[in-house]
Amino acid sequence: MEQAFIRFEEVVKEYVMGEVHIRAADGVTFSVEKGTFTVIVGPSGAGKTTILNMLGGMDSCTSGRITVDGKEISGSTRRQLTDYRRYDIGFVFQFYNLVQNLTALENVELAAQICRHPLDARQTLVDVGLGDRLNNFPAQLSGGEQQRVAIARALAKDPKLLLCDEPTGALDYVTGKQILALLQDTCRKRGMTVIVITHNLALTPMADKVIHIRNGRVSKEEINTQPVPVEEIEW
Amino acid sequence: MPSHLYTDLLREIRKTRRRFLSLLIMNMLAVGFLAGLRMTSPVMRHTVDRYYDRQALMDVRVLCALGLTEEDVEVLGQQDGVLSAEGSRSFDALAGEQIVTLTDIPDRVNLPEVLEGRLPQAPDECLTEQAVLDALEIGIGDTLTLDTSDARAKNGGEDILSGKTYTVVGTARSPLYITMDRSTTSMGAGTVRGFVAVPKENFTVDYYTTAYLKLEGLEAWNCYTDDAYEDAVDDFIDRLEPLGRERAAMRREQLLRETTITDMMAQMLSSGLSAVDLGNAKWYILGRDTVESYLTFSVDSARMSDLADVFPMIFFLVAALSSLTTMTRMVEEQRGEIGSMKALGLSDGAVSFKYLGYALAASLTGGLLGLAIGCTLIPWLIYYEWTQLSYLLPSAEFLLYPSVVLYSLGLAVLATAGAAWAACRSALRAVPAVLLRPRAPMPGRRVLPEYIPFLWNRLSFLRKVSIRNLLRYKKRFWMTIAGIGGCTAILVTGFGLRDSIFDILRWQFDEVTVYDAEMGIREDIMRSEQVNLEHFLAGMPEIGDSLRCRKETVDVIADTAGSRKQVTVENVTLLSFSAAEAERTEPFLHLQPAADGLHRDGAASLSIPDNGVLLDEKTFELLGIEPGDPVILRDSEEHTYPAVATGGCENYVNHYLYMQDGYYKEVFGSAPARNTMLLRFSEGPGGTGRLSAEEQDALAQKLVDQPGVQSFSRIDSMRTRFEASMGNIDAVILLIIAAAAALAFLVLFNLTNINVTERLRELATLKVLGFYDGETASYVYRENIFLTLLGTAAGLFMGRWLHRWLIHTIEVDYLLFGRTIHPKCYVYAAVLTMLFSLSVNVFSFFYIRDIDMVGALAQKQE
Repeated sequence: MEQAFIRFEEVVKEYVMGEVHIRAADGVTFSVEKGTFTVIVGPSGAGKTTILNMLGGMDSCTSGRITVDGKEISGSTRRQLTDYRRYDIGFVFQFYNLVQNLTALENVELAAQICRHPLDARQTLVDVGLGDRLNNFPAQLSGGEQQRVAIARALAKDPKLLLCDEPTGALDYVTGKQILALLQDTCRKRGMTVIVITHNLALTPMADKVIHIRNGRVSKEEINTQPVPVEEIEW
Repeated sequence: MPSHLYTDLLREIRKTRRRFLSLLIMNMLAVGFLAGLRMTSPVMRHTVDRYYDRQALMDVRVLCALGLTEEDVEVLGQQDGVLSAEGSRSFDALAGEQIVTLTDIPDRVNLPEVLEGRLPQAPDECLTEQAVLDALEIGIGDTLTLDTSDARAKNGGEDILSGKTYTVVGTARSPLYITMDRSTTSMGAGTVRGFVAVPKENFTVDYYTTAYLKLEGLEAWNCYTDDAYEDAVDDFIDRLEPLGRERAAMRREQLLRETTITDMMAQMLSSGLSAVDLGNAKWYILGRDTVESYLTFSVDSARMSDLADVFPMIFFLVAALSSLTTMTRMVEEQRGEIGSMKALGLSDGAVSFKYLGYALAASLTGGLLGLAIGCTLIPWLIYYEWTQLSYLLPSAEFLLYPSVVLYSLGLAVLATAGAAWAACRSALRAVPAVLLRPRAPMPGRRVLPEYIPFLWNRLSFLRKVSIRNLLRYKKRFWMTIAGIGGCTAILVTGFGLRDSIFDILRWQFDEVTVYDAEMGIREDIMRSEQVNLEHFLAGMPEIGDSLRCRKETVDVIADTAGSRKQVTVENVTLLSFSAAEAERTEPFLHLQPAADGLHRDGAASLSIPDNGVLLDEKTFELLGIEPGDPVILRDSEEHTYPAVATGGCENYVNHYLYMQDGYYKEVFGSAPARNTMLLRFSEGPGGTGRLSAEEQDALAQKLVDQPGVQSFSRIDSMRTRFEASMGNIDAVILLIIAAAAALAFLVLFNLTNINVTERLRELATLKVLGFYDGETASYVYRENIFLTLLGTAAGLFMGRWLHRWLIHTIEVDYLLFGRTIHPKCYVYAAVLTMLFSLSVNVFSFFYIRDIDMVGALAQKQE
């Protein structure tokens, strides 16, 4: 059997807060193929972010196995997780999280300078459509532009995996759509494996694969053989 | 007010316990240090005053060269306001080789406090001090034999004591002698070891040397701090003067009668009471302030109080600044929450409750803890150190002035809670919607160095960010610089203060007054005696060189006819030399030009002028005069004489005035009578250095036995006395250094903490990007290190200034402290500050390592 690019096998994440045990992930199992666009969808509190955090090496799982590109992530040491984040993962957040004191270009270069084979920062920014805003500080950019910088920053590391947590959550409809289009393009043109978390079910047609999460478990997995370009989706 | 606000407050404290604790400890340190140091001098004075009260230390004593009779004492006892009066006898005597003060055991006044053993019951028992036993190498139960030949000689050949051998039955301390150091005596070599008290019946003289009076109603006052005490005693002394004249006259007549009656031969004896000029027999009615140990304590505790007045304030300011920053930051961090509270419709008061409560809880708890610890530990420690070093006193009795409690605690609460209140007010002025909206991040902006591409382009990103951060957050920048600088400054001052004080003893006695001893010569010494004495000195191998001069004590007044205020420097030692002697002063006195409290090796020496007076640097400074300005000299009889001051010379301890005999005659109208010889010891047999203590004692004995010699004193003993007194201050300074170090650590900890929490999001972002722990931490460290370096450098300058100011404040009139800080003090202070900074950084490394990326990034941008 061919090994999937990303595999979650019975992954459990339990938080202990005093005497309360919370199972944010309760036996999650799914797989994602390389170069595909996957949407993880579910209501608030279903455990989507927990799954993404474990996949991104920001958090470890309580039990189960996570493998990425044949490498087991679960059970890594702190240092190994940092290396994993450094070389293999690109993150995009709802609130951009740019360094306020660095220009757009510098923010991208910041990520690029810690990688082994970074992409050209300037070109990456041109690619996300910010060729004329290179030397602007985050505060001088609109929300959509800031998110583009964040995407460029993630891409410049040339990661194996691009993880996006509600990337359009803080953006208006039109801008949100542009960002999703950019992510979809990135997947198609660069062959990048992209995983997007959203609570918006309307987005599911754009994905190659949709993973529905409910109460810390995978409730449904769908494969779209004919993903729709995001421009054609209305919500 | 909703009760959940309390819950919120308590949870906030638990959640941010690092911040809460550092705020609490900072308040504790500031309050404890301020109140503790301020209470030290009062505690000391209180303890000593209570001790005086318990042991019934005399309030007034009456002395008369002719002695006082039983009847004198009785009459004194009947005076208005006198609680009790007691006659006492006290003579110098020898116990073995040791000089002791032989005295009787009092019944009512100046009671000795028995420390070990008991009071004498049989006539042949005595009470003494541990120091005497140690010197004699005997213990309680052993006997000691007294030699009273000196007192006998002064008593006209009649002995003063019947029994000579006594069994020591106890050791005690006396309120009359609270210092370990005792006065020198005219009797031979060295200093008095201590007292030996024997029962009254052993004395064979029919007169008392002193009458001690205890006055009514004075115990309620503290003799050191209440002016009322001094006023009451002064009043009493004034009222007693007429009686004194009357009784002294009666005593004179009585003695005259006795001398006529007794054998005419006895009158021919040139010693004893009858030799005393009978016309000179007056009563000296004196208060406590003429008791040497009383005065020493007064001066020492006053110096302590001066130091406590100034220093802790600086310390307090640094702590307050840091608390203020912390509270302001806290309120700013939570503006979103403040907004939602307001949006819920809570009143401003209810919203502020949490922050004010937080600040109050930290500052009050910390302040109260500080009071509890500071006001007991600090006075106890310093007092203990003092009593170990140079005082014989009971253990400390604590007290607390409500005023000190109120203002130290009040200031701390005001600084912390005031900052919270001010921050809340400015936040509450905004409408909820503004507060709820994330605050626009402080926009990135180009800073100056970016316009120098040559430099800027060579920097890595992290360096660029650091530089932008540093230059853009001006408030934090200055707060940090002030905090770190303040700590460095306090450390510099602490170290510098220590040197300033101890240097001057070395400089004074090794570099300025380099003669070894001073010999008092009778003014009416006969020419033949003088020649013999000089021959004798020349024949002594121990004496290297001698120089005659005139010595007296004068007051120097600035002759500023036009100005409103007249400055007087009292107790200036005047030394006048003949023109020939003035040429030879160099081996005895190194007079160098004044250099603002700094000794300079090998500076050109000054010669004593023949047309004016040379003053010491401090007098010159106090008078505020210029070379060539007129001054007025006032002698002990209050006559004044105009003179001209030619300049100031290097000097640190006491005041000196040097002049030549020719000018002396011009000023005072009469040629100076020689009364002093300065001595230099020879370098010893084979040049093996100065004389040992024993050799010096033997030498002293030989010298005072010479006709014409009145007294002999070694410079060393003065030096020892000063060293003991300065030793007292050392404990305080060490305490200051320790407290400054603790504060420096806390301030740095706090600033780093603020710096890290402010950047939490940025740090989390870096971690998500895959920065290693070390790389993430260095993002903060680079700034910290830079700020530490800059703050330290600023602190070194501030310290220099603070030290100078402090020296001016605590310097007593008769001392000139070193004004310059040794380079090594700067090094110590800088190294300590950086060490603290380093350890704080190490500590925060773990904090940064454990930052919860997920939690930090899930929040909205604020």
